[in-house]
Amino acid sequence: MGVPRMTIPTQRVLRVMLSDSREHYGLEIGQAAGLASGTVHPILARLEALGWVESEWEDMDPRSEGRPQRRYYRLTAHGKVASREALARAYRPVNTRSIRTPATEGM
Amino acid sequence: MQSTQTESTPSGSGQRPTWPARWLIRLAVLALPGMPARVRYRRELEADLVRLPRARQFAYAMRVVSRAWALRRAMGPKDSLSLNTEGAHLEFVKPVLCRINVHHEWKWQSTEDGQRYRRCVLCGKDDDGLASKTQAGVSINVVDRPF
Repeated sequence: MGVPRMTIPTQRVLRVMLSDSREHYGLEIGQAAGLASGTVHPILARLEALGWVESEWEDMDPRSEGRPQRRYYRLTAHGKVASREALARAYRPVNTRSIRTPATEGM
Repeated sequence: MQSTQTESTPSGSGQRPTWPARWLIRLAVLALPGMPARVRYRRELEADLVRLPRARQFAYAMRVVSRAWALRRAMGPKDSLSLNTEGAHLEFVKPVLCRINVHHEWKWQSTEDGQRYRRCVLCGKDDDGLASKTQAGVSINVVDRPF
């Protein structure tokens, strides 16, 4: 199993999934990660192909609920470990203005 | 899987998707390889549409269309040729007769929700017009002849 390209959207998706152990559906992940619609499903498909994420149809009756079944995603055991490691190694852009220290401000 | 969702219902949720949005989703999934993937993502994306206010459904579907090719690439090359019933993956070069649509070797497959369809085991093409073709006797199905 490989490692996906840790783009910023991929990191956001993984952080959302790691932050909450419950299952999420695609739209919910996209909204929580602040991603535009259409972005999250390719990321989830890539993670699923790598075995980091698994998905299942919701167990409910669409007629009684009055809505279609959702596809729920969750990190696999391997995915949890691998994504934590990948996020730890991933590049995180640093806002240089935010690293102003009291010492430098006084200068 | 039992959902453990305790979400708040946003305004406009539970709306039946508008037909342009549904049509766009169906258009987007045509880019995906194979009937199981198309059926899965059509159902999944239409379920997402239901959660959105009607005013936002079209824009959502447009963005899905714009990212359809990215979704196809993300699924990887093997998925395009997966045989759902056997869990097996075949990698092959498309035969010439398949390319020019003269000969296919059809095999029955099932989608995740049990729908039956036929797929050529040589090139991975789905027999979309199965019913009309077989009724008209146009289908060329030479299973025993190797080439």
